[in-house]
Amino acid sequence: MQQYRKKILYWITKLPSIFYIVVFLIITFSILSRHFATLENLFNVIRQSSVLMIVSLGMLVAIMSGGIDLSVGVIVGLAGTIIAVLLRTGLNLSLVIAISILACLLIGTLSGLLISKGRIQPAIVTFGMFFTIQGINQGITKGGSITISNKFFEHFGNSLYLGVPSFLWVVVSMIIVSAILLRRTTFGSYVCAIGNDIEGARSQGISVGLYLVLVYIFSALMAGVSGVILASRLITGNALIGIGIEFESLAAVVVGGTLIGGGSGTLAGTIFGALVISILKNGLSLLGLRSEVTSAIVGITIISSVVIAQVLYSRRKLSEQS
Amino acid sequence: MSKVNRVSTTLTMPRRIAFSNIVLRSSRLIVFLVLFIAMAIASPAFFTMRNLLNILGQSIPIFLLVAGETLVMATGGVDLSLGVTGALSASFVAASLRHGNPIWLSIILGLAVGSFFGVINGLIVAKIRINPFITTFGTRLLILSLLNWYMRSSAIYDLPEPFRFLGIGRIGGIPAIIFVGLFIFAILYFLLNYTTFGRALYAIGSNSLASRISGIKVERILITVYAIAGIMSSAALMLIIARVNAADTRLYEGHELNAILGALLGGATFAGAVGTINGAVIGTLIFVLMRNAINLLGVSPLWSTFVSGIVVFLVVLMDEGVRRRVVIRRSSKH
Amino acid sequence: MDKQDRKNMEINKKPVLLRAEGIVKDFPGVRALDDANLELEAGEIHALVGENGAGKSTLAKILAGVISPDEGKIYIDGKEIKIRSPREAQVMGIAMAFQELNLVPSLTIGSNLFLSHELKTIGGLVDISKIHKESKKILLTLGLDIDPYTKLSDLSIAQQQMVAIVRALTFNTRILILDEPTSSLTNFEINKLFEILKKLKTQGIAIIYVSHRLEEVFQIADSVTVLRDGKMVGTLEASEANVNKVVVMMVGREISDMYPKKAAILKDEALRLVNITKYGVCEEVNLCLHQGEVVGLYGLVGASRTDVARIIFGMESYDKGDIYILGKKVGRTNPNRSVALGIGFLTEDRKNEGLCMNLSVKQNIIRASLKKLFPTGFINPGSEEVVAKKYIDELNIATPSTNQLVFFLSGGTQQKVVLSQWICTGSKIMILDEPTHGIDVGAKVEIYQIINRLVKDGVAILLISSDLPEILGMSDRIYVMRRGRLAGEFIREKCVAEDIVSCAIGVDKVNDAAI
Repeated sequence: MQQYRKKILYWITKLPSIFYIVVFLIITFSILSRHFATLENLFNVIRQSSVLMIVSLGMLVAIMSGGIDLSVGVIVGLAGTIIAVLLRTGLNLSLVIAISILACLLIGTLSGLLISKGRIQPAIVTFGMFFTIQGINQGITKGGSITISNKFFEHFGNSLYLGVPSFLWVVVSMIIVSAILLRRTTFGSYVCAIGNDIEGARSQGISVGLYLVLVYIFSALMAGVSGVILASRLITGNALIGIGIEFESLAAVVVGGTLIGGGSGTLAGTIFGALVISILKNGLSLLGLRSEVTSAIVGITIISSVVIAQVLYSRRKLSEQS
Repeated sequence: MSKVNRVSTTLTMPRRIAFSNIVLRSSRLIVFLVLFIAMAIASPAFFTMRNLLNILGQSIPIFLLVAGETLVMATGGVDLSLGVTGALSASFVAASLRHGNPIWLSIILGLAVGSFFGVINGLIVAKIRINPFITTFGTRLLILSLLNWYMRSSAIYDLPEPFRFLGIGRIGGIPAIIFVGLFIFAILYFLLNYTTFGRALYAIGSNSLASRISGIKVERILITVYAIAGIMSSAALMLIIARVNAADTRLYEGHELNAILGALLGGATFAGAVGTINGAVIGTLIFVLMRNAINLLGVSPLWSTFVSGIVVFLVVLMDEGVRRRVVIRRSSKH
Repeated sequence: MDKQDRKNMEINKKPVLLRAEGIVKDFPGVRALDDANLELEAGEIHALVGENGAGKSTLAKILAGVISPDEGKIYIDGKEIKIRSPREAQVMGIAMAFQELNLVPSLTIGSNLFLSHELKTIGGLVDISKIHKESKKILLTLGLDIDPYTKLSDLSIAQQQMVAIVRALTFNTRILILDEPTSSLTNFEINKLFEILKKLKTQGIAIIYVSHRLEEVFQIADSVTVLRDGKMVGTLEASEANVNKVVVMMVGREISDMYPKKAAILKDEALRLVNITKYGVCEEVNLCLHQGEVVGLYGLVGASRTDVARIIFGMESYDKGDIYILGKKVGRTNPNRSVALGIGFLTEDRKNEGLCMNLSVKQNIIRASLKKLFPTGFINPGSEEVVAKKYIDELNIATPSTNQLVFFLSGGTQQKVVLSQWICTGSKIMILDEPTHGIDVGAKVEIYQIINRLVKDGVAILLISSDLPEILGMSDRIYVMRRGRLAGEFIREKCVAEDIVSCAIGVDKVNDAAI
């Protein structure tokens, strides 16, 4: 019994502080609104957060490597528009999804190459990508929306698989994949090394160029996967889908406790960070607040958490130096 | 003081550098000229006085935004909140004018709102030391919410004549707005090139730590820069509502992205210390021409964003290529 | 010599393990290595010494595959090899423990030890438990009892340095390169390290020991190679070497030749520190500086000299004590105020703290004097040009024009630009922190001449330097700091190099010059 207690205590101390914020929010909203703590609503929250969560996984890796990926939002949209357009031509659904993911892989590779070989700052490269891909989105959809007319795909958004909603399978498997990549493969430690000191990592024998490309392939992939899920839910593809997710996922990562400079990161923190943002949005709207107010509050929360994280970080650095 | 004896003889400087510098500076000018000539040839409607003046008039508000963004980027930062700050200021101005307040008061109110939010940005970036990207993204969200809430209750049309004059009036056949643009251009040019403020600004963008050690008041200058950007943004949007005679939800149409794009086209980079007012002018003109070209040549406006993206890449790569030859290493650190 | 002796000699003669020939390396503005050679036997501890900027780290990094040489050949076991990347070097058995550590603070000790050559499971995943088991074993064999699951950032700097050294041994290492391995270690840990090194010797591992701490070098090395300005000066067997010989080789000419120092005519007090204390950094520092005087501040790495400078300049706060500038007590300051008060600070890291690399010479010179030159805030470009030209002329700054970006200048020229910056503000008190770091000899002499001119004009100079001959040659008085405290004060004419070095290390010696 003692062993178990020790283990539980150990896990409790290991939990990032963001976890307590999640608990706090859940309790608060349950008190404030009787609609919040219903099974249906909680299910909604998880559903709404699934896209953000997966994208945040990709953003986490980009941030840990010392960079950032501003193009994830439009990649989410692109995945959807490609599916929408290709389905129109009558191609097989699996093939279409594969092509869509492949496109995301290509984009990630391109960004990664420009960053590692081209030596251009990640912010600029992904910002340019943002414009370019957004443009492609607009071009493909000709400014409008394309409905996705595939029964199976539609069904996927609401179906259950072995009693658990399909999208949840995807979310959980993406989380598991990320956890394995970060903890059990060289990818994780190399990303930390690169984020900490890129030249230092190089001097220790790490193929920095290769791993930088892998980082951006990963984040593009995550964006693509969540784009597919989103498309199945919205059953449309248009150029506005996904805009804003790049910053929300950045917020989820930062709120979760990862520092922007890179070199370290917390997967659990990011997951909870994404939850926090989704819970906030959900809870606030349940309270009947207008969307502008909700956005304002979410914005303030994000800024305050970043500020607090920054202040705590610099304070810790100062105390380390003396 | 007597001269130091000449002992050192090491000197490694290729002669090519002076030439490459000139190439870098004028490459944008060349891009602009090429675009201009191409358009003149491709479309007869383009090269009329009327159309050219019209384009020039359109570009003034964009120039103000681009100039503000260029200043911020020259310090090594970025301001994502410029568009909405201006939109909010402009809607206040419209409401104030509607209310019957004198024009000069309304204009000052608008500029004050812009500088207020600019100062907030500056404070967070300089004092609390948060990354400008995140800071201005956050303030953008906040101001956007404010804007949404405010705009819901009012869309204003029919602004007073004298105010509209700034936007669409003419003096001696030339649109008044061009004079406004020239005036602001002159002020900014002077500020950036002939004042200690301007020198300090570039120093901070190049290496804020070294600037601090040199005794430059880094915080004060950063706050001022963001304030100026806010003022520019307000001025820009005020000119826009004067032109279109409407203050409604169309006000915020991604101006900040255009501003960044224009600044990048004009030679500014996120690494700071580069970026001039002349550059801002050229960047603006290239941007406007690009947009017009897309219209006139019948290219679907939907691909315009795509083109913008490609252009950004090309410009950045070109910069990087020239820079590689000239081998400039950026060494800015906070 | 009879047959038996000859046989013994042949048995004892060790084969050459590593040979480097004709290594040349250029960086923008400076030739870091000029025809460098090195020979290494198995089981030999070979020290590389030289002043800052002599090229020892560069040579080490070339051997470790981090930098690629412009010319030259490297042979291992007699065969020529090309080392194209750090990983290739590691595979060949050459591993380096870097001065800057280059470890990842957020990872565990075990992960850091096996970074780049992880132990993997059958499935291709990293075998975390195996890595940490192996790490525990390795640490124990070296006498270090630390839990390999500890996060690196939880360790002290000294422990982290040990980890860096251990890491270099995880590669089936035959050639171990240590770059300033003792900069953060206590005496106790240094002894432990030397025990480990001696053990490695018996295993046939060759060690390249890069250091500027001559005392340590003589304790542990079998042979010493001296570099100066990128060139090999010579190699001595440990038995033939002593501090003086090596110092002469490092410096290259008679000290009196190189340092045109004239006797100082002291005037008023310019700067005085009384009992300056900053917890964890320095304690009860008392020093004073007079106009027209050069006061040296010597100490080993970690003595907190730069911290004291930063405190004087207002970049860091202090907890106790007082600072008097030109006789008047000043409270907490900041750089802006310090500059206004007439203090100049030429920092150690000119690339990151002293210069705006992509601005012009002109802009860098006037940067600190903006308020002084243009009090109204309006700039007259003509005046800028005149001022810049004046200093370019006076200090003989080698640049084709005032608009040249400082990035392109050689190290010595860059340093002159930084100096001009402070001279231009009319500083009465100048703190120079390693002013000749990484600069060729010619430029060094020019800088010394500039310093002399400055003191003749009444400027007070605090010269922080780890360069013994420089401090001895240029200072009127020398303070020695050791681990944050003032360990001694010497007058130039009344001391020798050994007094100062001993004082800095902490060996108790009679101090003749106490004031």
